[in-house]
Amino acid sequence: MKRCLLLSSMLLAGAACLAQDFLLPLAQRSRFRVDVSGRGAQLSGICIVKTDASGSRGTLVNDFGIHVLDFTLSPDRQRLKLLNVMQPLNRWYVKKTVRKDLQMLFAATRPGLQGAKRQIDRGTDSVLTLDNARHKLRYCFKPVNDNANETAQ
Amino acid sequence: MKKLLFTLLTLLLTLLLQAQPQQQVGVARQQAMMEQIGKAAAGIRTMECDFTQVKTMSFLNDRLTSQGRMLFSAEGKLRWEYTKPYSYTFVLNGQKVAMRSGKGSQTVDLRQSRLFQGIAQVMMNSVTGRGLGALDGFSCTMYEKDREWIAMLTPQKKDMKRLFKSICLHFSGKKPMVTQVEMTEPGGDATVISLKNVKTNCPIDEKMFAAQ
Repeated sequence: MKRCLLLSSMLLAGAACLAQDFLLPLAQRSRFRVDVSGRGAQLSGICIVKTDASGSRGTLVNDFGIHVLDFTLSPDRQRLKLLNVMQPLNRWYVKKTVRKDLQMLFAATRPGLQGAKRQIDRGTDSVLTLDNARHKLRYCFKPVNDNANETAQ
Repeated sequence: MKKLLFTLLTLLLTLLLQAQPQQQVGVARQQAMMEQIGKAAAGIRTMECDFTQVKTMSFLNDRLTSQGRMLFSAEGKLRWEYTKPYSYTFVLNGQKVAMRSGKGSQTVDLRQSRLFQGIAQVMMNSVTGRGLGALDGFSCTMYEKDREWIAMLTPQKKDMKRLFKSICLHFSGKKPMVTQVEMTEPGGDATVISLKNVKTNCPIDEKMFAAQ
């Protein structure tokens, strides 16, 4: 029984450590400056993520305030679902790539993480970068402190 | 009891009158309003102001507020500069658009993208309200509410319909100048840009519109 308790405690402690190790910190309301570039195109804007016990919900808007996409993230951050993607990007092959890239970014637990096509690195100023070598895309996420001017409803 | 009922009814009537929604104007009135707006816009050679942009995100039930400064020249130049919560500048000069952020800059030739051309045209015309009736790809309906005039632009072309459900330009009726721009997206998200401290026909350094 003692052994079982010890094992459970160790497992729980391990899970807690893992949960704190995500490279993109998610508070109740988190904000990131986002830059996506590749193939001669560039998109920059703000990503806002709200998190509670049921998981996270996020929205990406470009610099002019135009909505780009929404997403949901499971509590363990292993599953990301894209919703309400703006029309020019609303194609299955674009969504498939973006979903997988964002999923890897939010689930990343250590810099230098490398997949078959994707690599994650943390640069200066806590900027987290994902390079998608296959599609030549680069995502940069930089945490931004919430400003006093901004109000949550 | 009768007195009380009368007071209550009067109060209710006053409240109802105050809460009257914006009313669409007739064809002749619309023409006259647009002419007045066009006349005021034609007199604007340069314009500078501060702006506050509030973006409502329906999916998160949240808002995002940005602030900045806008410079405009009637020669087809516009500088849209966000200063809070982060710095980002958009300069439109003729057929060129330059976008600068802390990370770097990018220049786009408007002739390469019809969509960009459309957005640039809307931005230029939204600032002053110039050429409302002749805005390519949009229909315009005028409304009146108290002393405020509202021009509702509805996109007619597919590209623009994907981005905007409507764009409402609010004018101060006293001096027909744009005070607020309200953009509603097809998904229900809205962006409201309020212009403050507006100064017209002040000299503006040409360097501010450099699109390189």
